[in-house]
Amino acid sequence: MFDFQTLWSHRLKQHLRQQNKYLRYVFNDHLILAVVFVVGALAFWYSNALQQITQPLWWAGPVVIIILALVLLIGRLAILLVKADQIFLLPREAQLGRYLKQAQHYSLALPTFVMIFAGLVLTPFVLRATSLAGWSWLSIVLSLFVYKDLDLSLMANQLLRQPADHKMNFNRRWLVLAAVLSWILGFYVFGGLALIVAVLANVAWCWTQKTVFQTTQLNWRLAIEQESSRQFRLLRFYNLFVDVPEVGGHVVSNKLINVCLNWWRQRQPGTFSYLYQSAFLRRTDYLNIWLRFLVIGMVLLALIQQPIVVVILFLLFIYLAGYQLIPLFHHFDHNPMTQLYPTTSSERQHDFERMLQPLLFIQWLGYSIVVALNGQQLGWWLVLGLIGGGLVMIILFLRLYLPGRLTKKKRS
Amino acid sequence: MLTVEHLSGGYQHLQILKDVSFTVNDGEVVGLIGLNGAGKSTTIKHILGLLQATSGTVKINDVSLQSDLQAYRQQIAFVPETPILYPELTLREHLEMTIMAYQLDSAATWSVAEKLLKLFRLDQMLDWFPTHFSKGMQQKVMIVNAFMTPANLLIIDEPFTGLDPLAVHNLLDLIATKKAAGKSVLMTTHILATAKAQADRFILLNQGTIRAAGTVSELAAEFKVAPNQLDDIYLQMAKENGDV
Repeated sequence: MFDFQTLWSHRLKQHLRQQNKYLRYVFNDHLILAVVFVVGALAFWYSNALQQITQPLWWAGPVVIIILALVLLIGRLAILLVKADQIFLLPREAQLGRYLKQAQHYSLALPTFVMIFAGLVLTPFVLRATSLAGWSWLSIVLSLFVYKDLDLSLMANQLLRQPADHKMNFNRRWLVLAAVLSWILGFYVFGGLALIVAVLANVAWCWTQKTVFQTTQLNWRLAIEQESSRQFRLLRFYNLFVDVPEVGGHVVSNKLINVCLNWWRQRQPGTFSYLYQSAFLRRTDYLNIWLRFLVIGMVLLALIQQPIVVVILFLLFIYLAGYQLIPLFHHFDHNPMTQLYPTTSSERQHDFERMLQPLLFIQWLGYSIVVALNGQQLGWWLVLGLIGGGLVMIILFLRLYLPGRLTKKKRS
Repeated sequence: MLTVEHLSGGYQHLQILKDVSFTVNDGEVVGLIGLNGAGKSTTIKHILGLLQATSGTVKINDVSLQSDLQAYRQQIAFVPETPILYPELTLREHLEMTIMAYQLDSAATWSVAEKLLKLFRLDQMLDWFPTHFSKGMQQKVMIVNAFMTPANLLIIDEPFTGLDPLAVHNLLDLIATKKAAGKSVLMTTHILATAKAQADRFILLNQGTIRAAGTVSELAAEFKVAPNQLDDIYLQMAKENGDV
């Protein structure tokens, strides 16, 4: 049933299906609209700026080279291996060379789009602001493709366990440096040189690899680690648009957090307080939500002078921060040990409410300080009203809204 | 003392246990044995109160889950088959968590815990996060958590899998001390040869009912197997079920 030859296409199909699922949320109507506006505005600005350029600029070459180098860095090797593969695919390891090649070709697809786009956008600027001829520029852009291919080859090679005598630890930095040097040659000496250097480098690399590729072993741990961190970055990006179950945040522990945690634990003891405090401070997701509301709220309140907007921001952000932290209440539900403790569910609820209290008060304090500093512009009565209103908001949230919400969820 | 009377139950639509009754006396170690799927873990989940019985009662020293939840839970300490840990907590914090949840005296419990940690060679790892430990080490963390409490009933699910021989030996010693202190111990296991060192009695579950109960020699006599070939009991029972 399982055909090793079709493993790559099977994996790719699976991967694309998952990307498709999330991309639908990324490219939602709002975003498309925003992108159309932003791109339109940028294009307008760019074409206007181009009109101003009448003679070659000294900085145009270096800037273009830096942009090309950055574009070269875009795109990693997608090998789509998962943890279980290091057990189940182990017997077929010798045949993985082909799989890696396929992965490498696929990985070139996305950077190709970016490179074509960058090439097209830069072309009018290069032709106007540098003294480069069209075909020279073309050869430089083509060399970018060749370097990217070489880059992916190097990445694939990094995943192999080389025999000691073939050991080649090629660093990506050297590749970028070589590319930059060849582009400098291309810009200031002779356009074709960039492409010639790139092709020579790629051919030389392929030639050295010919003997190694078939026989070497895959460094499974490294390959899977890299792939999963690549996937995680992707999912974290999607997580900005829609809840991704795999991105649950991770546990961090550092001195500062431990000091805060110990202090907090002593102030608010309790079985479930202990758990909630630890989860809040050490789980990156909950802490990040709260910090984001705190910092963004303070920045916005400092910048905005419009009274009605300030009132809405001040109160809404306090409510939203509390609301976003409610899932923490159920964070330990999957752990049967919490069910076994000799505690009651009302104790747990009480502990949770008590945990939220200082968080909302810190937020309130931060906001209050910012609006007080802005008091001259906002008017002192509004500032006083905001500080009082914030307090009322916290009390309403903790005493009225939250208990109802927690018990309702429990019943359903 | 644990008393299970006419217990029937299982998962929502799937009845697994049918009229199971047994007791575990104070100072007694009882082994719950049976093939995979016989209902051992289901029985434990009913005793812990993680599943709701369709009929029957479970009492620990005459306290049931319904009559006094907190007092009932206070009497149980549990070592699950696969370690269940908090990714957010260090080893020290796991122990503190247990101390808090069971409302134990911190200083007294820590002095017990320190001995247990030393025994299992975990004493240098208090500030590490146990989710990164190996399975055997995690199992030891769960054992320390359970054995440092003064709970009257210890429930240990498959205690020997994943432990090194030294730890198995230590665990058997710990069970013996609990037994001597008059606590009840209920453990499930497949490894009869190891379990018989401490278990006073065995309860053999088969397809959700108690097939046989008694000491090792009684079971051996009932199934007509040699006392040094205890695993043949499973084989005999499988034959009765018509599986072999």
